[in-house]
Amino acid sequence: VLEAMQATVPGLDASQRDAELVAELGLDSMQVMNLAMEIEDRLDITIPVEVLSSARTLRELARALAGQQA
Amino acid sequence: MSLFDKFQALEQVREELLRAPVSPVATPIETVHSATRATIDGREVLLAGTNNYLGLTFHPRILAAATEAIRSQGSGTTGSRMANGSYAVHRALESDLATAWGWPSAIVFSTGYQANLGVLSGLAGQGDVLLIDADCHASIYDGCRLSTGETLRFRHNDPDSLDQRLRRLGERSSRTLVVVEGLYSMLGDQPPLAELAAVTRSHGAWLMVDEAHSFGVFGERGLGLSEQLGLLSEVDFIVGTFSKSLAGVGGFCVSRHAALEMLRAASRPYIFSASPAPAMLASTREALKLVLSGTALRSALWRNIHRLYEALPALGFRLGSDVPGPVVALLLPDRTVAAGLWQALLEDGIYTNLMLPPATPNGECLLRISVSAAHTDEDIDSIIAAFARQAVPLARASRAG
Repeated sequence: VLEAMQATVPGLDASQRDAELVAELGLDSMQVMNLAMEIEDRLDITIPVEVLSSARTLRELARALAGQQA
Repeated sequence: MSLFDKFQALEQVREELLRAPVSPVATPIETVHSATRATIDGREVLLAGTNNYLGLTFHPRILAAATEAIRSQGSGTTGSRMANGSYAVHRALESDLATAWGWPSAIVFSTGYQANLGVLSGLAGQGDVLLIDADCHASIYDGCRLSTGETLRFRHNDPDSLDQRLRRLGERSSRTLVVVEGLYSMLGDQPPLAELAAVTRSHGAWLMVDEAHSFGVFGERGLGLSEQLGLLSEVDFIVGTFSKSLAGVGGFCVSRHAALEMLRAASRPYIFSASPAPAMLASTREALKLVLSGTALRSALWRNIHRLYEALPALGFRLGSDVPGPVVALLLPDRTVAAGLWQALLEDGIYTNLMLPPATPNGECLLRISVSAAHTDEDIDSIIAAFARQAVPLARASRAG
């Protein structure tokens, strides 16, 4: 999941998986949702918008997705 | 830490915009004179950014109906529809709307924003899915947030992306409401509605079209894009607003399903808001008659639309949509250029709308014109001439940038 996410945000490296998407990486709410849409299509999974509001970092998002699909 | 700390970045942007001679956001309009004229900053300007597509805000029949209603029924209902705010005029407008579509149910809301809040949160509960176009209006996003169902997005105007998501949902498709708009108000583009409706139907999902910007403009009777494309039989719910072609304030939902009536007992925004004032409903009933019989208004509007969609690209401006419609959105390179153009046009006597991210899709900086049937040929000449005066300096600035 992390790899798929790295591929969708240009210039992002593994060290930033704990950076806050909004506060530190400067993404706005629409960009976070677009990132999720990319991941959905790459992994052929469903990510409800509601999952995004509780995940502030990539790691949290990955964890939430893992929980979602389990 | 304070409650206000989080607003620091926002405050910077806002201050920058407010520092302009006349603020392009929340522009103070001193006096409005007609559907197309107002005084701003001491100067009379031509209004080219009002959503007043049919130009009905000063129509004598509408003003007379509102005046009569405020005299006979008072200034407000002082209550919700659930309690003391359900007058004959509320039910009459709902009946007019249902009749216009030939459908069994119509519900009126206090604003267009509330119509989406009330319908989406009321329709989709636990286990249901709201599958919305990524470029949908904020009121649709907020309706989804208020709903206890799940929200998913598909790529803007992309039937394949919709198809993929419905496929992933499998059996849950039958509990999924697909939400699209008849006209997207930022770029002015239209959806491939026939394709989206076919995909929705093939998975057994439900379809809602928000015709806020397309009602009054498209279709023989002005019912919107669904009417224009002959797709009314494919649509389950249509939401709309009174604040554009209907020249008032309020919103509505109409449906082919009589069970929409249940929202009156299940939709919190409907139950817990004061109902619209009688004058607003009386004026909207009159406006609705004018819209449904408004063939001449629509031809005037479309004549103006075609002129602008021809002239502005010829001047070198890039538009948000190749297909003409009542919203003409100019794509500009950045905030500074967009705000500068807005100011220069205002100084030249033309009021338009400045639209900036994140309200806009793809981070675009836009200058938006909304065309009106009330614009005369001379008004359209003036708008084109003002843009022509800006085209050369703008091209120079873009090259230098």
